Amino acid sequence: MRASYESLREFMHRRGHLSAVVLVAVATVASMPFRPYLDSRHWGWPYLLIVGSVAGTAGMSAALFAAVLSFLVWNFFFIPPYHTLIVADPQDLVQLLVYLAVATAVGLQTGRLREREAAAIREERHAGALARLSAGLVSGGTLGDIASLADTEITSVLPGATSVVWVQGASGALRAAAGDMPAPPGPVVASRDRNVAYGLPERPSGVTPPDPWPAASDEDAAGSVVVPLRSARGSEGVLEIRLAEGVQLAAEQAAFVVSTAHLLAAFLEARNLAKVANSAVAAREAERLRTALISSVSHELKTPLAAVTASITDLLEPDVAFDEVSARARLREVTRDLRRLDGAIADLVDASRLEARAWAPNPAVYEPGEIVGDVIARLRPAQRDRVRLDVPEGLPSVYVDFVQVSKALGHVVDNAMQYSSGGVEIGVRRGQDGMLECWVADRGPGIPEAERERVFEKFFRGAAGRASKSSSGLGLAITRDLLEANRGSISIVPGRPGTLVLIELPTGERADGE
Amino acid sequence: MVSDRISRPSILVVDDEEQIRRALRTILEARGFTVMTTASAQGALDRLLEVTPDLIVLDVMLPDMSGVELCDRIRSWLEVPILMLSVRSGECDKITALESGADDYLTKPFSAGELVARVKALLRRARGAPAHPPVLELDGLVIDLAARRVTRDGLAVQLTPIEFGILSLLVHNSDRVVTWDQIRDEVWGPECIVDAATLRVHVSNLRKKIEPHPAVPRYVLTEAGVGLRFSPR
Repeated sequence: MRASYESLREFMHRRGHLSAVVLVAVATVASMPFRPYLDSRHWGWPYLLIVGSVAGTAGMSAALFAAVLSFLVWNFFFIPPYHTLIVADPQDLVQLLVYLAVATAVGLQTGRLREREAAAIREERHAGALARLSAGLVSGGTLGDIASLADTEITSVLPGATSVVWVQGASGALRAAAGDMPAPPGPVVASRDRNVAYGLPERPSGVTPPDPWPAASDEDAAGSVVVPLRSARGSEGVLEIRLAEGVQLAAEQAAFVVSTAHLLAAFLEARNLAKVANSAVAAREAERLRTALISSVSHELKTPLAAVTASITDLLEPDVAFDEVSARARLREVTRDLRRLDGAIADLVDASRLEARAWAPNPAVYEPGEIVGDVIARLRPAQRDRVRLDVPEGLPSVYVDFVQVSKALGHVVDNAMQYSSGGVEIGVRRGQDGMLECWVADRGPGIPEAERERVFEKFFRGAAGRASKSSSGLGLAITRDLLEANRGSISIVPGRPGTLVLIELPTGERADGE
Repeated sequence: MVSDRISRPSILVVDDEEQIRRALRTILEARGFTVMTTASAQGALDRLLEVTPDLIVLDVMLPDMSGVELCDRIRSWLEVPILMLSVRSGECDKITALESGADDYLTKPFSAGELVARVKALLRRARGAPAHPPVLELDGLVIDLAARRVTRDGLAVQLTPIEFGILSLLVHNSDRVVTWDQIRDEVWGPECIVDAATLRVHVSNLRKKIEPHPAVPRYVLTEAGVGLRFSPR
């Protein structure tokens, strides 16, 4: 019931003049049987009611139309002589003119109220849309979310319109912030270019009435409004609104569009500033790595070189006579320094290959014990004696790059050997989700909790690493990169004496399943 | 001992680095080898027209031609063992070198001991001499190739003929890479087609029987993507 009343009001609102005609006709037809019983002067009251209701729903101009129409109809049908516009009785004429004046006043007054109410509703709707949009902006969605939200709100205010937020992509070309849009239309690009070239214009193009902005230029597409998204920084993008056929923006709608554009520009500016801040952080990190690299290179390469040079030149000096035993002992030290130099160079080369993504894994199926055996074979005999193995038979095969994983495990075992003096346990067991777990445990001082994640950073050296003489600061970073390249992972298990490093590797079963 | 019977074998060293040529000459001459050196592939080809050395040591990176290509060319008319040197230890480099006809591969930096062991192993193999005394003893493992008998801690190890064939080939080439193709050719015969999985099963069974730790090999080591290496230490 209420719904049909609302739809009637809605119809009257949109078709005010037609409604006036229909209502006046209905009132006239309904009153016609009673014409003989009533004085001609009383017929004004039903018509006044109609003028009032038209004014309340359709606004002023329809109400004035209804007033004039009912004035004529009353005269024509109810004032003698009937069916002419001639008024015989002067009293009737006075009555008619008073009616016209009252009806016009009622129409004007009610219509004005009605229009104020409508404007208030529109403003409320615009404000609501802007409030929802700004709430969405601060809630921190992605650019795509924000663009869709803006589109929803614009459609709620401008029925039938769609919108696209165009932002500058990485290539410099404009791209749609949401959805899969082809290249932007000419006017959008032209607007961006104007905006970038002149820092202007601040006004949307394509808006004609009531024209607070200059007329649209030739290149602007019909039915489309293009608003530059400008911030204090400059151009952030372009908002394009495609209006429904034949619709043009009213002043308050244009104001809404501009407000929306300001909000979007503020959002884009904040987002771009955050990006700049992030890249500044990245640049600082790169700078730190570069500095650390130079200091590591000079330290790691020069220290063994200095030791070798000192030892060899010492052996060559004529003032001390070395017997063969002590000379060999010195040369063995030299060999150890050289091995360290070779290791440091290998670490640097591996780290740069990984960084340059020039070291793709070449996985195949291996038994986990083959990799462990390879790592142990590379240890010095004294270190080999410290290894305790916990590798059962019948484990699933792993699907990895043998050289890379062996290198990774080698770094972990090397660390355990360096930072502890007792036995080093190397174990393998079946893990979860088709993964195999390999662990390396030592009884050394362990890694403080605060450093457990940081030890995987390049050039990070913990308290123990700083004390140790030989650490390029790259070993565990390389290890993690290598394992991740092989779809594995590495972590340090807390809550036990010494250090327990856990490595997860994908099994062959897992590789088959994918 | 073995080299005493060979009268000063000659070795051609092809490397563009003066320091490496100098070091190799010092190491090898001190052990009774005759050493010729050249810095380029063209120099090597010229020299090979005049003399045929007993072994060639070849750097993978030469200024005028890659060592792999040179190796390929030499192989078209010469059967002498070739030992490749490289600064890279990637498995692809190893595979390429071994496929081009090189007999072994050594990564720089290497110790003098390693180099000499490889050189001697290659020369012995070229002359058909056994790599090891007929009986090899490693901790509790005794491998008697002549008697085709293997014991561990005094107990006889039952090996299938294929397992023994693989072990024998590996022991004869101790400390050297033996490629999967070589194992196929020598154990099954060049006509046989054996897939990698079958080969791996035999190797796995062999390891279970002779290795001190059943799951972690110490003697029969994997050379990723290339083959196997027997390490008698």
